[in-house]
Amino acid sequence: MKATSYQELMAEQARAAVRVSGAHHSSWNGRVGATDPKEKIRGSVSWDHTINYSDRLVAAPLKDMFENARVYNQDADTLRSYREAIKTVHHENTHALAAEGTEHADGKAAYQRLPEKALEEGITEVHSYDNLNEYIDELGLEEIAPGIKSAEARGSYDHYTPAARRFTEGISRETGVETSEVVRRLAVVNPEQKFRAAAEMLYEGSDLPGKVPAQERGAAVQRIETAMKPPMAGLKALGEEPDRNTRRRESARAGDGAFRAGRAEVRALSKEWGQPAPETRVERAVAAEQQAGPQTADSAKQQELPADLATAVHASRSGSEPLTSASRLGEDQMGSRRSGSQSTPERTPEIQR
Amino acid sequence: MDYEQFKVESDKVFAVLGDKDLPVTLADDIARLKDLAATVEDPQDRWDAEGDIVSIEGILQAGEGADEEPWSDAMNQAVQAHARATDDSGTPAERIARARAGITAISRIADTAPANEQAAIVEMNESLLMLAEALEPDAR
Repeated sequence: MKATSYQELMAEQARAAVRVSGAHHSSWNGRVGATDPKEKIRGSVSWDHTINYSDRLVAAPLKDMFENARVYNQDADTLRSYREAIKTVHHENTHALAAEGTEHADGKAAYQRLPEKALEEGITEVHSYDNLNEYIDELGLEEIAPGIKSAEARGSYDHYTPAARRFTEGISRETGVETSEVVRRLAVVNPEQKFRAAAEMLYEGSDLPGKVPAQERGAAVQRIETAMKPPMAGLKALGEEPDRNTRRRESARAGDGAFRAGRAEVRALSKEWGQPAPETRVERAVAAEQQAGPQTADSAKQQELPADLATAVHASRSGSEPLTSASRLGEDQMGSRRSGSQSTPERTPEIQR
Repeated sequence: MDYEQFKVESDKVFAVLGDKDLPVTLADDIARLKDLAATVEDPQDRWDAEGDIVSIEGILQAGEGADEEPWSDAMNQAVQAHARATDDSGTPAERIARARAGITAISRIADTAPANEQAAIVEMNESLLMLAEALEPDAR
């Protein structure tokens, strides 16, 4: 639904975030509060699932945007204030996304721990920033504020986003799932579940499903998840790092270390559960040859695998059907998470009140 | 060569990536790792070795992102203030006080920032508030 007033925007904010992300539902309770006017806090999600905005920093520019609807050639500063405000709205609504049977507040304890908090904020910022124009389209805001899609709005959490990006790029290379899809899958679960969702992706993208008995899957995923958290705790030291370039490298190293710790655990589990059958070894070697390219942007390289071969490779490695979401996207699906053509339960948009 | 042998060499490169001044030999070191990776016999091990090189290049690229979108020193200070305010040591009360102090510090820093950086700076206060509220036993 397109928003033509501030009230409609507030009413539609969560449903639009669900449609953009393909999340199961939003935990938003339908209430919009105001942050303390004495503090500079643009927005937040309370643990009772109320979404709060600053009257001055977020609500005012958005109300102004609707009052000046369809005015062309607005100055750059004005358009920036609109885009920054809607970016805050998308960020908060991304926090509120949750998987079936769970809520955002289920991650309250996890949010108190640095690895989980850093991944929550890093992934939330990357997803909401990278998909901001899609969110604007969902709400029809380019028609309200012509030029908002190309206005400036700078990214935040510069000490967490390199970690989140490197973490998801590593998982992408290992699983063949596009990086943006890895980010999406982590964005649609609460803070407590993000590392687990990553561990499940690594597990399913490996040869473990063909080796580990079904009843042992949970314990194996748990081991991968546990292994990934300590490297992300390296972000703690960043408070003392004054050089931005170094800090971004340290952040990326923490995220990459988390991914590689998960990968190492997958390898250890694979050894523990024995060697694959001889014919599987041959096919895995072929797969590795196919996927190994120059040491550059590897995830793009993987996409060059023909779809049927990629499917066969996955099946041979895992002994199971590939994840639906790990399949190659058609051109019409690129960059879009709309629910229209999707059939998996996770992609059924729903606002749970 | 197997992956464990390769890893001894790649770990040396990973170790210097957090240094402010990267070694002048880094490009040569990475080129050498690529040569070594090509000699890893087992396809799975070679895949992992090549993945380590992708990781190293990705980490370096993350640092270069700082040059692509330069910031004022205010943003730099705000990021440091946020990182310190999320330090997870101490009692819940101490952590709440630290997070609240971080909000105050970041707000003050934002006032000194260029207009186009202020929103991104203040945005970080959100997670400090959510942390403080998560630490309060009766927050829900």
